[in-house]
Amino acid sequence: MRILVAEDNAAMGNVIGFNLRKAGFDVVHAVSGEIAWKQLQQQEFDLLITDFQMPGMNGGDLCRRVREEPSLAAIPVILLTAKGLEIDADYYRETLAVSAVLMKPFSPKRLLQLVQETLSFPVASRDGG
Amino acid sequence: MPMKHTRLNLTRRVIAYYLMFGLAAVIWLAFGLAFVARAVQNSQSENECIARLGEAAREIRTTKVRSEASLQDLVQRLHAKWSLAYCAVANSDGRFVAHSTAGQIGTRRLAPIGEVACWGDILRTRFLAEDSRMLREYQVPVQHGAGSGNTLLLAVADSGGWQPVIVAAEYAPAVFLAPLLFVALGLTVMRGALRPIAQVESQLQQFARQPVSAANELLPVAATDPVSVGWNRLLEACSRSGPRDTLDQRLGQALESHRQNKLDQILSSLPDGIAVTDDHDRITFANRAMLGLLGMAGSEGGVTRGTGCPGKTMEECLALTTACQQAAPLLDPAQRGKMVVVEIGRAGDMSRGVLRVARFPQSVGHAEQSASHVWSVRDITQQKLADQMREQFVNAATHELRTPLTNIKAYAETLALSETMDVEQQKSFCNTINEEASRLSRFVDDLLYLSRMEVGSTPINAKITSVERVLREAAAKARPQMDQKKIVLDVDLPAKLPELVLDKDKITIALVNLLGNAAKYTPDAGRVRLHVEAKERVLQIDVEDSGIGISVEELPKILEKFFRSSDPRVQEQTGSGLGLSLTNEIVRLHGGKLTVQSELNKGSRFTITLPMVFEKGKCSNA
Repeated sequence: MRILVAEDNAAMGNVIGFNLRKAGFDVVHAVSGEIAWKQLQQQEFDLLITDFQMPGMNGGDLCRRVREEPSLAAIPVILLTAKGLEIDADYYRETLAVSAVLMKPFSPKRLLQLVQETLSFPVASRDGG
Repeated sequence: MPMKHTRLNLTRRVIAYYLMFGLAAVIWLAFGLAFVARAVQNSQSENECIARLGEAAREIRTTKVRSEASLQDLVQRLHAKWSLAYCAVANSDGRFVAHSTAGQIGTRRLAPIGEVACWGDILRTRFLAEDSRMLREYQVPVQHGAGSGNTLLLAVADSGGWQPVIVAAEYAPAVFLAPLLFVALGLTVMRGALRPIAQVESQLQQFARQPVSAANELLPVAATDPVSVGWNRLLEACSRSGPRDTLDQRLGQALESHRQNKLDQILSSLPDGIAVTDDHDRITFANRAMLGLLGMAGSEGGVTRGTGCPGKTMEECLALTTACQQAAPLLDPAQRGKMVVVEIGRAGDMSRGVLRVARFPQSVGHAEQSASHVWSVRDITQQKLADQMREQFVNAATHELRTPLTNIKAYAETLALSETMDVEQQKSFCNTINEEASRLSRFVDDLLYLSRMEVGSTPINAKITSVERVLREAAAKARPQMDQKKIVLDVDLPAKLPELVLDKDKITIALVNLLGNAAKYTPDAGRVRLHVEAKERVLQIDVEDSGIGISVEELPKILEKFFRSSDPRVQEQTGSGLGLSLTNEIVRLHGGKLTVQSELNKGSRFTITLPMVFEKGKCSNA
């Protein structure tokens, strides 16, 4: 299964990639929202993990753009954020159909668990497809 | 003399008095003259009679009257001569021996009863005769022949004394006409003289009755006498003194004006805008601050009453529209008469400033729909900006703290949970943890440093320091970072640099920050130049690089706390956005200045300008 990780912090991108690869996933790391968007258009992914706070196109913008694009509308998204309680997680879950919002600092084990859950029980539309 | 209620004018009054007293004097004079004339007449008549009595007595004594017949002749002669009432001689027995009325001879004389007067031997009796005539009888003893004790009697009719007066009365018309003519002439002259004074008096009486309305009806008098001239000048002076308000009105106005001025001064000095609107929502009062906030500054006096914002309502002045959601409570009719507080944009635009507008009903507890309102407007733009900055700071600090912490946690946990990991990878993970921990530590240090310096709790510990040594140490600290990227560092110092009073550690931090940034944002094999120049009074340190540069839009924000360029080449580098803020603060505390010149994709030049302080104690710690 292919996972795209959009994370501007290289160290964070590396550790997420390490853990996911170890669990058997195929991981592509994009260092900005713009690069991630290009990757999504060029390749097919089963899951998008994106950081919220990124320069330029942030995680929220990326989610919005993904949901607006019919071919990508069904891809599950996990949002990572260091914003804590300042972010309205319900908005992203309900409006942008984000599967999970994970607050930094987080445990890689918890992330892996979330990834596995999301991919086992993807969003309804995907089930249908 | 009290003339309070008289309606007669001065001329008539004076003439009436003149006539009254003049007439009294004339009457008194006439009576006086009559009495005097009478007295004089009486006196003359008396003297004449006494003289005749004496003459008759002498004639009887001296003439050879021997017989009674000759005596009778004498008596009758005298009677006829002096027109006497009677003339007689009585003997000692009281019998008439001779009498002008022959029938009386030989009869006894009856002494008359009346007013008696006596002068020596002469006795006078004034009495009423039988024929109702008033008579004066004079008697004196006389010697006649051999007989003695005879009495000569002589009587005249008494006119009563008023005869001359009665005679004089016939001439009265002629006597009194002349004075009356003089009186009439006097009246004409007096009337002419009194006319101007009467006019003045008449106007003053009218003024006394209706002081306010009559004030405007006072007229000058057409005459040249001193009173008229004085009156005319007085009127002129009054008309020059402006509106003829009464004293109490002027006093009242002055007091009211004083009170109002005091109130206006207090309201003008308030920093908040205060306004009052009437029942038609029109502004009737606005203080200086309100005029400024409504963009009407420049109105004279600073306080406007009624005419300053003619016909305008607060809603118009604040550019409130139903489109503005925040202003809705102010425009809601249901909210009239209630206290409303809203925050709106200046002139309807939040980007132009934020105003907190409070509207209170002027009479609390009255009808629900209070007619007039008091408005208080405060500019809270600065407060809002401060809130916004604090929020940005918290967000930025949170992000900067959480990011390394997240990395440390993620790497540590991965290390702990990965059973099959080669040594190299373990090492790499440990290095990352170390780097992130250092980054966190550095960030916390910078943040604390900056905060302390900003509040002044970290003073500048300035000592006499070799500038060259500080520069070389900073260059040495930055050099490994440059070497990693094969960047050439040119250190261009003048032959001799002075020793200045500086905080060596802090200046080193500032220089290392600038050199570190130059290394970070200059591509591999680039060039960084540290150029120092000692000018007349300042030391100028330039750190110039051939790096990525800063865009024109971002250049003004470059010294702000937590600001990081949105350029991806900056974002891929770790950084807290505090380094330049810290450097700027250090330079500022040394009394210097940090300036930046930059061009995108060509490079940047950061210049520190420090005042040359050679002696300790003169370092500016502002």
